Amino acid sequence: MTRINLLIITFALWVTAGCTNFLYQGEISAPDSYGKERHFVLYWTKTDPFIGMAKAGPAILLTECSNATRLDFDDQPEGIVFRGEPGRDRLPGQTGSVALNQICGKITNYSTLKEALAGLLTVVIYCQPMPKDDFAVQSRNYLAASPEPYNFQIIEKQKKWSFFGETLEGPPVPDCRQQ
Amino acid sequence: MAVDPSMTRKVLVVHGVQSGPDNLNQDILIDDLIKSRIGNVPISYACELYKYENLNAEALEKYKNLLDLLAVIPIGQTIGDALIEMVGDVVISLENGKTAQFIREGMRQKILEIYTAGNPCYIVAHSLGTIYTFDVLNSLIGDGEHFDPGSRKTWPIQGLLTLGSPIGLDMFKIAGRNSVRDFGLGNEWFRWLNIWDPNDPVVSGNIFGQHLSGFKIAENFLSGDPKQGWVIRDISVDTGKSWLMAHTAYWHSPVVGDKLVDMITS
Repeated sequence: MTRINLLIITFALWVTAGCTNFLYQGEISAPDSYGKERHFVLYWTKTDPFIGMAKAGPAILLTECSNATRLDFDDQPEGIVFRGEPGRDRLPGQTGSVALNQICGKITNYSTLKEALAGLLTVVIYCQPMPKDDFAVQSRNYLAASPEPYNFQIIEKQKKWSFFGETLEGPPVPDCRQQ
Repeated sequence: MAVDPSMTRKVLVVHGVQSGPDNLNQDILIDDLIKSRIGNVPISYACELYKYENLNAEALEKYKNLLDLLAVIPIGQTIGDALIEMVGDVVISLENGKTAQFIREGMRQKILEIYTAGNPCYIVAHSLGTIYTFDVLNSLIGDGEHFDPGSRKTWPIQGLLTLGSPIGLDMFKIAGRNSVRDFGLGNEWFRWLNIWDPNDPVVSGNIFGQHLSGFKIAENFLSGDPKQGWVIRDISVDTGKSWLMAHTAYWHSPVVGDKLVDMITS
């Protein structure tokens, strides 16, 4: 009887908490905010439960030689966006920083990260970093602002089944080849 | 008295309610998380835990008993800690008596101690700890002695990262906790990143971990005044875990690590 109860509890938990965890990742070489060719890594995770709604994101953009910069693209009413920050980002050609919640980047070929899959992912960047203040240990740096989208080829880096879910490790920041 | 950006950065970790003092290792978890994500950023930092477990010992006794009860069934051993933390957080946070005041005063003293020494201080708060931190931060802004909006060197706290916070629940919106206190006009902006998993029952207030939709929790605390001086961001994070386990999964999330690295290096 005890064994049957245990089986029932285990099955119930598996049904409610069992899921598949995914890690998606893409890399490109492209000009950074200061015009240098850099390596960029974009990654995000997704959890698809046996029962219930999937969840995903945010997508994090890592920049070679600017390890302190970790941009996030997250699901917002405007789509999957990177929101700039007053004091840290500005629009090209302007001296002052962006207003609160200025859209500074966008993943343009999906409306939510839950839908995004392996394959082409297009990213547009509208802003550039402000000069750093005394507290910043490195200059902020990311993909150069450009009207043309950047094309990431996304791969499904990991896919794991588990009873209770798993927090997958993210990719390392790209090695700095030349300062 | 001024903060020196070249000094070691202190990451003050404020925990939620635990099932016992043995589980108070969140500073180590955060240190491990930062190490796993920081790469070769040239920075000196140190993590420290603000402990208030001993102050809540009496209130916690009933939750420890519940943990013991859960431990007799095999599955209880797996989910026990998460359940205890969730129940404890939600119930004890509602108390606003002498114990809560004691906890807030102790945290304020700890923050000012770091400030007096000149170290930049960044706070990572989890669960119930986010409520106390919100109160202390706003009280420090309100006292008029710190947080000049023109100079970060006068700020006892340089940035706030909250994890699995129940602050959006109606039960916490008592007097004075409906919005953040404005800084006033200046060039500097205070950053608060509120990270939450859509299945975290403490964030949604739904015991079954029903998927939370929508985009704003902490951002609802912005006053809308141009002089507010806050950058508040709600970031919904997939921790990879469901239901009760989501509430304690933030400590291992690479996204949390990345946003924390971004915060303490800027």
